[in-house]
Amino acid sequence: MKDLSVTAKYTAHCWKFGKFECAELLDTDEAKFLFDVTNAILDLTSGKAAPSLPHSLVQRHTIIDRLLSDWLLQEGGGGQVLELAAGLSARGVRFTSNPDVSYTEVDLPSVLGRKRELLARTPAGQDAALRPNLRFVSGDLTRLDLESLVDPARPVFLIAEGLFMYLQADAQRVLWRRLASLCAQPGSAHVFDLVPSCEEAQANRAGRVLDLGLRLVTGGRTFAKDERTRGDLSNDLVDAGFDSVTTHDPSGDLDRWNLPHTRVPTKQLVFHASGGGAGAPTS
Amino acid sequence: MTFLAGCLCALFLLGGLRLRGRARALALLPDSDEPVHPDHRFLYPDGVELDDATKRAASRYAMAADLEVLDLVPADYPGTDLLGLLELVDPNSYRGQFFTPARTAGAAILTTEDCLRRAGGVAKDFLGGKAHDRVDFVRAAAELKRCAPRDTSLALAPGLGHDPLPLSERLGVLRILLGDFAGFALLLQGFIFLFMGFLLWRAPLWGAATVVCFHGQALLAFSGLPWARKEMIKLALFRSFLEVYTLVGAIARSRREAEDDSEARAWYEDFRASDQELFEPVRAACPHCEGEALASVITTGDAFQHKPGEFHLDRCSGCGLVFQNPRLSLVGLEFHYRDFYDGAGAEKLDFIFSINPDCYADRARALEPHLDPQSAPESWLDSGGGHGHFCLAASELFPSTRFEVLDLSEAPADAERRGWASEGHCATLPDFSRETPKRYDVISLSHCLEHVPDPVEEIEAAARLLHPGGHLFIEVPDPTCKLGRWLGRLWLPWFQPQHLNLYPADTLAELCGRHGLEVLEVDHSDAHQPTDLHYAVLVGLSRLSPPPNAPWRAPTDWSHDFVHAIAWLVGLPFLAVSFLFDKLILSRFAGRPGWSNTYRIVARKEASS
Repeated sequence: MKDLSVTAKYTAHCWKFGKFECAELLDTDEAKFLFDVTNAILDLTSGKAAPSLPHSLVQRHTIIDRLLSDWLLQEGGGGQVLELAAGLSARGVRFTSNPDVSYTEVDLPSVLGRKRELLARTPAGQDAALRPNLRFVSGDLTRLDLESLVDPARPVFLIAEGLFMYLQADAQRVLWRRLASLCAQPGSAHVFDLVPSCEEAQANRAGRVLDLGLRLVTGGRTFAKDERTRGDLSNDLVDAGFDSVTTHDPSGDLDRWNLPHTRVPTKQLVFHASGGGAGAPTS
Repeated sequence: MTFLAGCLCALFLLGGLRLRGRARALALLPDSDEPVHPDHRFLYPDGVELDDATKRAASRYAMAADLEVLDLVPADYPGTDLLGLLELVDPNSYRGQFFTPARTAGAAILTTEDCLRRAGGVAKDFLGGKAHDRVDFVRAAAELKRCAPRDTSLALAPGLGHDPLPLSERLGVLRILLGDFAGFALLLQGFIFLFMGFLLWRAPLWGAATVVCFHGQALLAFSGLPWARKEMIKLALFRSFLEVYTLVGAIARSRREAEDDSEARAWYEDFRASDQELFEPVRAACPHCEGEALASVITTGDAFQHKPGEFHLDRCSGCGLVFQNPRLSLVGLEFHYRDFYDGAGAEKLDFIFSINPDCYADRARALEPHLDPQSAPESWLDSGGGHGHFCLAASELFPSTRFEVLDLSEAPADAERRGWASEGHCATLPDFSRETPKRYDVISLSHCLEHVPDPVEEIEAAARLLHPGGHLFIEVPDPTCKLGRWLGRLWLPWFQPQHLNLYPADTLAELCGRHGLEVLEVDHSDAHQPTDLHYAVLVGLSRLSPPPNAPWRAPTDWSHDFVHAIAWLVGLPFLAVSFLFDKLILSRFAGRPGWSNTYRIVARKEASS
């Protein structure tokens, strides 16, 4: 297993743990086992004040769901969404229950193949997988023709959850340029999560264990780290062609998001970049 | 003895946990009222009952999961067979493993009209349950999987009526699933049962513990699965008896596969009678630099097919080329290649090529840093690519690239039919380069140059076929590797009689430069294949006991099968230890000069060429 599908499995059960609607359609015993074992190791190796990985992920997923809901409201209830590295997230299934939303999920063939099989296990999942407004596109992001996946005449909402932390700075900038070019229509937006390395706690035992585990199961790939701050990342996004950037830090604005698990220490940062000359995001 | 008994208990329990994960991942088809998709077809052997409800459920499942082939496992499948199936296949990852040979319950298969057309012949015989032969059914399943390598899976069909596999056909089915390892697997199973019996006799407590663990495997695997409750109870109580009965019955009642190889035998007999010259004259000078200082490297026989003949390798002291001397003539090459990559050897090679699927993707990744990061190559020719394994793996990384495969056999046509390559060409690279107006962005020669009589002509042809700025990728064994000297005739990369020319990296790089190809990288470490020691054990075992039933040798009887299986059973611990040594120890030395058994060259055709 030299890809990152192991993280897709972990998060698949994490969304179930976070009680997200439809998450059970993509959950498996294997994912639960991976989730439980990883968390047990992290609990054993980290201090009490250290941010909790599963709770941080749940908060991140919630924020992105809310941003997407807000955007769809702004767009009159419908719109086109492109989610990169969608993994085993059920967001596409949740949002395409609204037929006015057209949703495209992109990921590696092995991940999407498994995802469709998991959906096929239940009648509800089968109905979702066969919806005309939910499309699965497999391929490697670095070379996939993203322009062919969106209607250039309509605004688009681009999601990349749990992706940029694995890309080096140069690869991030290249992908942002490509994504900014997709956001030519006013109202388009790109949402993703990325905690700058300088804001991460000093690598503790838990961090090192997570890093080692990821290297082991992915054939050496792990988190990319660099010196850029939030401001630097925002500047990079503007340089890439986005008009403006807002960041959402759950720890700084708990009430606005009405997030779960507020008593548990977490660490997340969600970037919300707008394109198409629309000015700052209003959400 | 107690240590071995303890190990066996631990293995049974760990195996049970592994089977538990797999059994839980086996999807149960949900009911569906939707009609069967018009493109879906059902294959099943005579005697299987496939009702409309199961067809509807399977069709809906296949559509939702976007599958081309869905193997249906009956819910009343015998527990011993289900455990055997789950030993072979992990439903969690089966779909992603596109080189893994097909695993089937042998009951029924859903496929698409298009996939059925590509699979052709034997698969069509089972449309609507007309044919009976289970061995052919498994063969059809294997071909269907090859035609839908990314979109094949299996699911549990509660309403599927099942006709148990007759004991007389079990060995034949196992031979399709495991190839040459079938006899070995049976013997290993028998050996374990004998050991358990011995323990019961000599150390009853430990014997009882192993039996409890063996029976308990079913409880571990199937507890909590309502559809498997009946079989779980049966296995928990009677597994040893059922397994021994099946094993003994399969061996005793098996029709010794009188596979019709009369045509192949006739060809080899005619060939022997024709008394044709298999070798060219002995060379006094190096074919590359004409240097006359030659040193003997090894003399060996055919270690793989055990066809008659002795082969000698010389090393040129001037340029370092290691070459077969005397070299096989074209007639000799035809004789020795026959039934290796296709014909009688096709299934075995397919199995071997599926063992390390990552190596193909690794080769494609090795070229990635030299390509435009924003756009994929439009066209890629894999020369010497056989059935298109590389093309299939590389197309995961470059999905928009058009992959073509070229080889001097029927294999490229199979690759095209199965969809592993966009197009297959049966030709040599030099001939192809003269005939086609096509030009390519990338040409790969992976483990190909050492097989061809004239590598210079090959490089020349590759240079001609590349667009200016296009890339040539070469991967070949490194004849300067120390292990080649130390392991001698047992070193796999000498690979006689097929490897005719083995170039050292600097000589090959110089050759590329001479043909307008700028060398961008010569890599010795990532290219290394951690196989030296365990392949040496395999070569040694193969010499000790050649595989049974080859049409170029006298027919063998059951005693040969038995001795062959015993040899492999005895060799197994050596194989395991050498495998670990290769992976964990030797691979760490690959980056040091003289330790890598393989190297790669990436070159670019100069833009002005």
